[in-house]
Amino acid sequence: MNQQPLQLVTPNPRVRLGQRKVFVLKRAQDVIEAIAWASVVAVVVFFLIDGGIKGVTDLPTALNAISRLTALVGTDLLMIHMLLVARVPWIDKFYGHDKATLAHKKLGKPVLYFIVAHFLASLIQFSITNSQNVIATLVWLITDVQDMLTAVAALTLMILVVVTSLNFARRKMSYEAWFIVHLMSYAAVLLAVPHIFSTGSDIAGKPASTIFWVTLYLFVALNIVWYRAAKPLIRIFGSSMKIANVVRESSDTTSLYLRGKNIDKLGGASGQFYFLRVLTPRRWFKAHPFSLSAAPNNHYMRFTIGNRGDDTAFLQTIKPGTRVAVEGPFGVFTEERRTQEKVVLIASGIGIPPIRALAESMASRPGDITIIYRVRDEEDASLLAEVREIARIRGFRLYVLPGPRASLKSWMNNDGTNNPDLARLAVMAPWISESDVYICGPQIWTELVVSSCTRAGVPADRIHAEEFAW
Amino acid sequence: MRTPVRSILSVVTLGVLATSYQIGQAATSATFASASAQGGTTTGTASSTPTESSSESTSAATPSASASATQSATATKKTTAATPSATPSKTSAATPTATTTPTATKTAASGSTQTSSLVQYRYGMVQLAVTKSNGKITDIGLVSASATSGRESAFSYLVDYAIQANGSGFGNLSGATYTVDAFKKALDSALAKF
Repeated sequence: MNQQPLQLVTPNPRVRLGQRKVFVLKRAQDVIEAIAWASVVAVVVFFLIDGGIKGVTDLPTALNAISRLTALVGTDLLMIHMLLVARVPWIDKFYGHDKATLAHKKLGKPVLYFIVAHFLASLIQFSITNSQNVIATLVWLITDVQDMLTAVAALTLMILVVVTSLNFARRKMSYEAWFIVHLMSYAAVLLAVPHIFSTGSDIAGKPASTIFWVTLYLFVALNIVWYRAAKPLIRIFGSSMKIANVVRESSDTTSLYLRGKNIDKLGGASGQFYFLRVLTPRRWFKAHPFSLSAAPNNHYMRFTIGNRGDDTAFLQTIKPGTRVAVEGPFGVFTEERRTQEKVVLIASGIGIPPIRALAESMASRPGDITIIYRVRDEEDASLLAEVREIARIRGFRLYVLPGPRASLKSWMNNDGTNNPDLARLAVMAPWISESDVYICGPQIWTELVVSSCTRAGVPADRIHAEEFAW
Repeated sequence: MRTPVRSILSVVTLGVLATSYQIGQAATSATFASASAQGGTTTGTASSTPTESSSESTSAATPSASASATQSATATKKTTAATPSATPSKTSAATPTATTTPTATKTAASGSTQTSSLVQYRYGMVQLAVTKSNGKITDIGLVSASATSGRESAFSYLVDYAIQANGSGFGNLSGATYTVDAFKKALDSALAKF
């Protein structure tokens, strides 16, 4: 299927191994988490030093304290929440894009709870002190109090954003509709800013709080503007990537070869992924994540894309010369995370591209690396010829597992015996407990492999698996 | 996060929160003083202060001094207020202007104090602690008094006016009509409690 003989990049011989990497990584994660935690503690400290609890004497003052505290904590969490999806390198490098996005998802609802609690506490407090009913107070807040109209609009938008992100709503909405609603969350945050500084009693006239909040807002805003907007745009216009070649790999996968200016300066490593946008009027706003299926080199970028309907179906037949934009690289499914000499690479179906790229660029001696490739049909397996060639040249063990699976709970194929997965894994990779294991495939399959590896004695920090999450 | 780090962090957090809670309970005046120091144009007025030393004359001129003076009226510090030998507040050292402030410059120990309802208005909120002695308003403390765009400077005048008029029967302050109205509303609600 490939016209030319396979050209492989030379692996980086100076890759560093050893447990110290894990220690450094965990230390960095601890520092980041401690800073995030400290920011939450700091706002509570401001509140307490200000005598926030002291003023509580009756119901309205208690509500006032609740309103202030929930607003402070909620806003601080909101800033962290936004930073998590700003594709900030210093977060992605230590956690990976998938974990950061997952944390972002988890934080969404708590943030909203805090903000709603703030809203309700203020509303009830004012209706008690003004001795009016809640509706009248709300009308009064919106019409008479400075900047409160925008704040209520912001709250409404935030509720909308969170509701549309709940699982059941996500399933019913198209990605684009969800994305546009989600974009409004930036508007929501901006709309909420004025009332924080004008009506809020915890910032105005308090130098320490003012400095803290202004710094936090600017820091988050600059990170978002730079990493989420400016940098990708600069890259798109700087490299002007085009599809150079489209090669069919199997009945439902296709490789796209991309070329452009400064391709050697894009950075990236095997195992990482990019968001790909097709720059045509109808599709430019849709970004899809794809892993590199060949190690980064100075000539082209290659993505191998499985046909899973919708836009991936369109990409199977895209015409050479079409302009595309790539955003990235993302992910920590790389050799950077490797700590051992021995490596086991396990892929299933369209999980092969990053495994193929890793196999190409991982430093090794013959026999160090074992590849296990689970496919439906050996005759119709994507990139299998290339993987075979790499294994032959570099002296890797390669096990291809074709056909239907052995049983419902198995991640391997039916080989006619009734041997459990663990036993078969031990035969294929006897030293797996001293190896790094890289797993890429569908989620449920990945979970089965991870549990097999764990039972085979692989520590959790040597199991590398990444999910696409966006 | 690793478990040991998490444990250490939790303990430190508890300590920090407990300390700041203590600070908050002990000295509310510190932050409020710095708050109105920000206001800038606030002039010292409300302090019908005890005859105390030369430092008093300087502190009366600084905005922060007046603010902390009025603020202290709100709290339960009236017992210490009567003593003329008020100790300088070291807790309010956050702002240099506040260091000369005696913690308690209240003369109103003989009167009774009532707190108004919290009045929220277009540019902020007002809550007052009004002290009355022999049927006359002797002091008005700002429990909460926020305003934007320089309107906060109105409060010190309003305190003066209200004491002179012995109620809310004084005129408007041009440029701060909403603030004046909110102030009067709060004052009336406090006076109604006597």
